[in-house]
Amino acid sequence: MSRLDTRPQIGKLASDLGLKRSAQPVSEIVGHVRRRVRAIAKKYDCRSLAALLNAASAEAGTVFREVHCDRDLDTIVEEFVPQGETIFANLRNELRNQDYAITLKRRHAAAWEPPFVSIIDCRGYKIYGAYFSKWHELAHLFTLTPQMRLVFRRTHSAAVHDPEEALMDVIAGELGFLPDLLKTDGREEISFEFIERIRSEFCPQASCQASLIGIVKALPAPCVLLEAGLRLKKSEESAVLQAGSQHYPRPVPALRAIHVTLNQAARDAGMQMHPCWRVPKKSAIYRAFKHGEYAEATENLDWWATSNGSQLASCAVLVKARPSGDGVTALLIPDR
Amino acid sequence: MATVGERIKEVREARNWTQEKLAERAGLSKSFLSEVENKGKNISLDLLLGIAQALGASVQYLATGEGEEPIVRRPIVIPVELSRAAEELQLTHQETIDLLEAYNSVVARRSTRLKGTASIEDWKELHKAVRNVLKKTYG
Repeated sequence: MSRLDTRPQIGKLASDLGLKRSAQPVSEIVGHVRRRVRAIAKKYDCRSLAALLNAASAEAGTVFREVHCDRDLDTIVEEFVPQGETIFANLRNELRNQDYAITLKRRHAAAWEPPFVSIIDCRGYKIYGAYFSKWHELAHLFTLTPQMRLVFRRTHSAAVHDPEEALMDVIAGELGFLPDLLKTDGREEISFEFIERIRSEFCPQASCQASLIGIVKALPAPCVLLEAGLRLKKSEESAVLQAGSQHYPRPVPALRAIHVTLNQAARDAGMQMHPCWRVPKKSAIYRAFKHGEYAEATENLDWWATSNGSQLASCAVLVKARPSGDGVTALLIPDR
Repeated sequence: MATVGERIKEVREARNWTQEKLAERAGLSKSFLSEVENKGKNISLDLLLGIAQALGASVQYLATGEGEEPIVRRPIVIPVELSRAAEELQLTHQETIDLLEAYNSVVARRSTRLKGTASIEDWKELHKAVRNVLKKTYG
């Protein structure tokens, strides 16, 4: 059970969607949307994620309008305001720096027009999140209940992240890389090139980083995606914070796992990996970081240990590591 | 009852598009489109999707002739903050309702902004942005 499962809004949404009572409403809601999207993929005979995105948006009753520059935004405002769509006059305020996308319900759409318009902000760095933003907006539309259709803007509790938004991100991550359409049979060896090939074939709009996470999660074969970088231990971080400028000698950051993604097959195979753990110096991950070049080696997960003696269970793995920004991205695959 | 082809023709004509223009935008031949529109030739759902997207039309409408489900009227609840903003701005009841409807048009948003319920200032800001549109609508 995740923390999201315990939030009352999520339980209420599951109930409004008519789903059975469960201790894990997140799984129920994700499963509900997954079934609906799978039915759409079948109905339209979708062969790629791009085709699925098209079909899903049509079924959800929305059209995507991408905004690549301020002029694009003006064009949308000039198109819809004369049609009596009042809220579009406020679009420049609605789509600010921290907003990636917004879906508006048209109040004066003709019977033949889709009832919603989803505006995707692709200006500047937001272009990298555009693919994900589209699925996020669709997740909202696929979970709109009759009650919500009339209430609309959700009840947001002030100054906290909205659990429904977090849930929509979970759904978007799943739908944007629906395993059914990734067409991997589990026989080809997992590598960065393999993942890039899947991305360019099935979801070319997705950013490289989102694809890595999404595709690794969707792979039928066990795989762990690990992003490593220089970090302090949590206890060192809090000691530094408490001591302020008086803390000497200051601890030295070490190469640690920062983000870890285990796919379901890896979990089923008993693989483990934890964020914050220090990367073993004899690992290819460490070499890739030190020398700034790709490194590959057969290793064992029991090399990973903490200062208090905890150790990962033994599991022979093939490690493929490449430098990425200030750190390293690595794929860990069971070595058979 | 209208056929799929007749509905395609209806929307195409509402857009003032020629068959050539729609065929080109949807990646179809004009003769095929003509047969669908005039002779009731069957069309697969994925091709209909292409036509719907080219026209900016609802695929559900083209396929079935049905639009969105009718909205059931429910009591309108005006938030306290809006009520106070309306008082300060001296809005009529209809203007207040219009402002609320505009606000409620937002159904989803992907943002890293922290969100809370709209404050009096938020309502005033929204009114400032949309008041000219509302004036045009109601004189």
